[in-house]
Amino acid sequence: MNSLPHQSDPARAWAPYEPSARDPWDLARVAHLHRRAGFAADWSTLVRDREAGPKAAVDRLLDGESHARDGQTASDFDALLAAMGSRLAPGANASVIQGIWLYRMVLTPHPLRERMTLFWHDHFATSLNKVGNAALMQRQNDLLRSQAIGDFKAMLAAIGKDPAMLIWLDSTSNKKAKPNENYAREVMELFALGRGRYSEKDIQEAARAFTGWFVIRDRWSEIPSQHDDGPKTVLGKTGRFRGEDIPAILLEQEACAEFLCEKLFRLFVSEVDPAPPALVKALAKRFRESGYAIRVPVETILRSNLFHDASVRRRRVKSPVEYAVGTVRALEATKPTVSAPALADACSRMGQGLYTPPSVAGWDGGPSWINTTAMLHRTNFILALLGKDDEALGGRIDPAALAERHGVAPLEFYRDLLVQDALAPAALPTKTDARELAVLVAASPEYQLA
Amino acid sequence: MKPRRFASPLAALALFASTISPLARAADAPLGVDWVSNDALVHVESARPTLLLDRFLSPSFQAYLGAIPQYKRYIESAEFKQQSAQIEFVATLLDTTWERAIRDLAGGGLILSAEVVDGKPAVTLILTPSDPAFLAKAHTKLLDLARADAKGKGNPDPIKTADHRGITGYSVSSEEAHAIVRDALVITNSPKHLKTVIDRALDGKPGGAPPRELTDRRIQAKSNTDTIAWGLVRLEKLRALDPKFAIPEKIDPGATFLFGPWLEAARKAPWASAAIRWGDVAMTAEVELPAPRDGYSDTYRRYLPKPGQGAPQLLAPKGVIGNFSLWRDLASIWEVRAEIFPPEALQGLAQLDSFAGQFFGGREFGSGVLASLGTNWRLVVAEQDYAKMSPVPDIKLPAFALVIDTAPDDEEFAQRLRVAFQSFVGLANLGAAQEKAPPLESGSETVDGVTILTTHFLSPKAPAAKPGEPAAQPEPVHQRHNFTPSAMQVGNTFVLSSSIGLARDLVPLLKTPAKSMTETAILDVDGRALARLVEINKSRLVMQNMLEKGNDRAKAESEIGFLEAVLRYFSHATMTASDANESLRFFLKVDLGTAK
Amino acid sequence: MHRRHFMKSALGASTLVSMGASTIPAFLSSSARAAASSAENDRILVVVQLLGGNDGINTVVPHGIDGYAKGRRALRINKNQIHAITDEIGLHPSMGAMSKLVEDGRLAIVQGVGYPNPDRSHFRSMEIWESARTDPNAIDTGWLGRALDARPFKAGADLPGLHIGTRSRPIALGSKKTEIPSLTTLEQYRLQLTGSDVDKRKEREALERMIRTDRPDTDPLLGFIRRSTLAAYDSSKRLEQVASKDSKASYPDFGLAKRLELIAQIIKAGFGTRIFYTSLDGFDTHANQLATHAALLTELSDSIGAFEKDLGAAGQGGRVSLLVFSEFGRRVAENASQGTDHGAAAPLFVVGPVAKAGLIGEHPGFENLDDGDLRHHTDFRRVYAALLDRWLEIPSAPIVGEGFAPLDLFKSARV
Repeated sequence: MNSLPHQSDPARAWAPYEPSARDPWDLARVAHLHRRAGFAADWSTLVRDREAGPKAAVDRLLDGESHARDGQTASDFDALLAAMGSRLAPGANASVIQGIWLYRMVLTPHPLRERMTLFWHDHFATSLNKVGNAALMQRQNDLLRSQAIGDFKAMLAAIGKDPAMLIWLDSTSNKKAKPNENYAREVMELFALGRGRYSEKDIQEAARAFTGWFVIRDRWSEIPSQHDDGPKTVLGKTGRFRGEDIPAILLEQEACAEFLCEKLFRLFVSEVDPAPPALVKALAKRFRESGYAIRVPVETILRSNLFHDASVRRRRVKSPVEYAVGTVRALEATKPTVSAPALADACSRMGQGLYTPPSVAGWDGGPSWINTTAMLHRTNFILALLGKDDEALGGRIDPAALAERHGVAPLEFYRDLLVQDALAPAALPTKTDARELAVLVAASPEYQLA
Repeated sequence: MKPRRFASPLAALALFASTISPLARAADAPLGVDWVSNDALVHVESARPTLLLDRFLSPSFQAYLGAIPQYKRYIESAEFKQQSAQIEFVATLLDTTWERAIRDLAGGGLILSAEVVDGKPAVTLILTPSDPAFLAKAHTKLLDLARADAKGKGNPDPIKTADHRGITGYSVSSEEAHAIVRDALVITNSPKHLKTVIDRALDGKPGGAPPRELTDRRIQAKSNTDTIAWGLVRLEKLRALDPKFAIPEKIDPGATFLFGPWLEAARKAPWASAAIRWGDVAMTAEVELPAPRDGYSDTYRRYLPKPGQGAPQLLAPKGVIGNFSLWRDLASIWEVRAEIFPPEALQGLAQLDSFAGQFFGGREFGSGVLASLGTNWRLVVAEQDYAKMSPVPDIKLPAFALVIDTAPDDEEFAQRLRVAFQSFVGLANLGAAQEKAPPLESGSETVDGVTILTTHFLSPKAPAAKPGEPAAQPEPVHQRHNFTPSAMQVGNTFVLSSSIGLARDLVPLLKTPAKSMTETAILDVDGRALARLVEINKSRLVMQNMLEKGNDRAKAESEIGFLEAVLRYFSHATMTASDANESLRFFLKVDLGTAK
Repeated sequence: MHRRHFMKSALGASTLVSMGASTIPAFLSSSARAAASSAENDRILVVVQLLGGNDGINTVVPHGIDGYAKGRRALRINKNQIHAITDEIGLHPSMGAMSKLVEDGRLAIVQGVGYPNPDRSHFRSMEIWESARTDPNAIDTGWLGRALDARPFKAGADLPGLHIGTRSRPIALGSKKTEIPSLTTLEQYRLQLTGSDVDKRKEREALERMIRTDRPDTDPLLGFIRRSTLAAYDSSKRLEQVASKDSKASYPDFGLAKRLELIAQIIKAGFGTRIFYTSLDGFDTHANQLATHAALLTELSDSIGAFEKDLGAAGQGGRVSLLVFSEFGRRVAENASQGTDHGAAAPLFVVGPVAKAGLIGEHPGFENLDDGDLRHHTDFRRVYAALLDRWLEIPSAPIVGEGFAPLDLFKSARV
């Protein structure tokens, strides 16, 4: 079993990667970057970014491309999706709002932003099953996206007033006489600090600060008469705190940045190796010093020696959404693309229904994505996507023509596009058609890993 | 200008032919009628096949075709250009145009017949030219061309010829044989069958005079100058040929419930006929099946209106989109449910009985509820006055009303219905409270002496802008605000409406009792009204199309635009089903409008 | 249990090493699979929930007990049609198949089951039964979900529980660790290969070959996915085989029968799934109950009869038990609409290799009613405790709470 390089040398680990003869900027590195920082790239993007070098490639991921995959400018695309969200979400069922988001992921000019929005959805996990109002879920999603690689301070402050979150946590009426501890608990345990970094007393006191916060007819409102304006002591600070004061107190804790950076480590570096504390601390320091600009740790990781080290490749299991969206993008099923509600249903069958995480702790991720039913549905998704029978998912890709368009033989094309150096050559038959090759590579165990 | 005129009608023909090719290729010639069997599996006749061409070339249909994106793409495709160049080349050789050629070749009529000989289909197509000289010339020229082509490539003569009783037969493959018989072109699917047809032409009709089912239809077709073609299928033979055409006795209970005797007729009828007519302003299609020879069983007879009865007349409130009107004696059918439905469906019905008991104070569903409801069922769909709605929902849905006649002297039942309506509202509110959705507020109003029980959803509260914060953007109004469920009793008619507006509009129309039509069921749809509905919801529909089909905006807009154009063109459609003792008739009429 | 902890436990170093240690040729041999399962408890529990509140009084009919005839007039069941169990009590006339199960020693009927302070709201009472908890805020997990949590689900294996039907997943299956999926057809459990039979076979072989091919890399994560994928393809194949030779099993044309047939197919295909859950709706018979209830009991009894016959023929009867319950019984007195309203205690059924067939416990009687309802004498959690401790061999106390002694439904321990 490989162990992580530079475990105890944060400076070396987080220093920007420079291509060298030993560690060249090759296809495997470009593909790794896109798998982790987005949802897998298509062939042209891989080739372009290999020519452009690591700096330009990461720049483009951080800032987004100029055009969406459907040919619209990025701003037109965002306007379209904003309209879809605001108009189609009210009263919609799960597969429709899931579909709106998946449609966006498939065609987005800014894959890192969507990847991070998905990360925050898992972090601030809220389920439509309980909230029962798709419009509120969509609104929360818009909030998460607006700060996905922005300001964590602003995001933490806003999520505390997010109606979907408050309904989800039964915190829609925080009365003076009976403070509701649920939000206070989750914000410390799951959103900002992690277990064991606060006391029960801190929760009770913080809950008093949130009194007076209500959700009335789907909107956050404040009822001043229900606010307990007495002094409170939270995490060592004392004052007549209001709900708005709590995030700042949490953000002052060293544990906060470390908690988040450990999660970012798992997102971008490895799910199966424990995050070395020295590396997390160094990353957290930068995060805190930036005033919680999310872009800072994300950018640090994506440019780092550690991230580009060959040993961290495939140390994550692709989540169903990463798997499905990545495959649709890589195989260029974009004009027309697949039916979005059908894609949503496929993801749900594979075990990840967007907007319906199993609990407030989000999805367990990693090996828990894998069971026989889920694996069957992963292969079935590939068979449907690359077949002609399924009207909603299939018939959009001509595997032979796709390889030919890029001037690469099918075997090399599907291997290099989807798994690069990871799949043993013996696993693929040399004499078969392009469709079967594409199916085999996309159903391979190697391709399940990111 | 010329190539354009050439291109578009021809493509239209190709497009149409690919969908209804058996009809498009067939025609009626008086002399040919005697050369095919009286009891063929399929018999199709057209006395004036060129009428189809006339209709296609009419300016209104061309304008309609012009609005279809798929059609435009086909016209512009390389495939189409190649095909039309070939046809143009041949037409030039024959010193004519393709349109002229078709008229000359088939102007005298068309017959298509499929017999079953030794378990295999024997197909005959007879085209009667209006200009026999042109047929002879074209035929010779084409044979020469094919032979010259083969010779040029060093291939043997591709056309085999054989004489039969003084008539030359030609064959280009084992599955084709044709001849010119008495100036008509006869094409068959085997040389053997061609000989049979030639024998019949020389010796006279086999099997004596044609049966009534054929002659009656021929007379009908003649009497209507808009008839494009008509045909007859021998269902008995079809079922014998392939059991998959036989409708099983056991079938989906829903289908049995809805279409009982019609399915029974389809199971037992010896034949079915169809006719298609295309006039200046309307297209019609008619299908007829004889009733079972030994009549319907007692069970299915309960579906048939007695003489003088029929579906109630249609309602035409303001902005009407559609009407469904049905004569059905549900109480009588309920009595024999055990004969119609399988046990698992009966269980569902037993639950309905139990459920109805709760809402109707313990009344038995059949004798207590259905029997009080009578036989007149109507569903009306109409546009709403969206501009006057408050709030205006983002998606604009039509209003629906179920209009049912009740037994004249059962005031207690009428009251029960009103109470049941209120119970439903209460139940809906209970559900809404659980879903945290807004409740329905009840009220009532009186229109022209009729009391309407009304409800409406509480309006969403606009978020108040806080000082210092920008005013929040108004959010799209939920689709539930399309609905203001209402109920009323007008005379003996009970109305359950999805909206107050439609209930109000129906009051004056229901003051006089409904007249009975002669049909059993009538479905009537206004395509223009539907097109308007598509138009006002267009931006939403486009987004939905993008999501559901994965299309980009341009493609989605073109698909929705096409839908709108189709609805406009088929401006009004009526479909009816009539049950008479001797036959069952389905009739479809589509009024043609313009695509724009 | 939170993500961090799960990650540690599921993928601690030792787990990974052990996953990687299995060598490729043996890693999915069916003998290894069989050996593993015979060493463990491989018993299965199937739950059929009757939705709406079944009228227990007219299901297990106490025709000879004073008070029945008085409470039931229009709805009284004719004594001569009843399938007698004792002189006083018998099964509803529609329940011939289940009466046969009593004779065969496979059906135990537990009388007078309920819980203190019975709630007559469907939703609340279902929550209590399904969560096995009386605290209305403790419904995030169900009793079966907690049972599954107690026996950790091996990642990569067959799902431990399945819900069969279109209803949303019942609270009873709410688990902290595993999302139990709902299944309506076998298709959802199959590899969707297309084309001719030859094409399908070729494609399946190509997929299996690709996964079986030796990899130089012994990354345990990859090995784990390979095993799981092969197991998935294997399950699909086993299901197809079972389904194709299964045409003999004859099930009636009822919805419940179809669902039980699906469960039987999965069981016969040798899946590791231990808990199956399905339901039959329509028992809320407030009016015109007689025919409705008879039809529902026909569906229940005939479906269970066919299921038992099928499993028995396949030699699976010894490891499958089935529980039938409803959220409450109905009032003793019928209402004015020839129906019955929400009540309290009722009998429930346990089918399988029971210790004693027939009636378990006394009929609660009609004398000492609780506001017109039968009083319970057996807490439903004692039935759950028996199913957990004695059948599934999962300690019941952490799941249903302390103080619920298991009923003697099964012979004490497995030999």
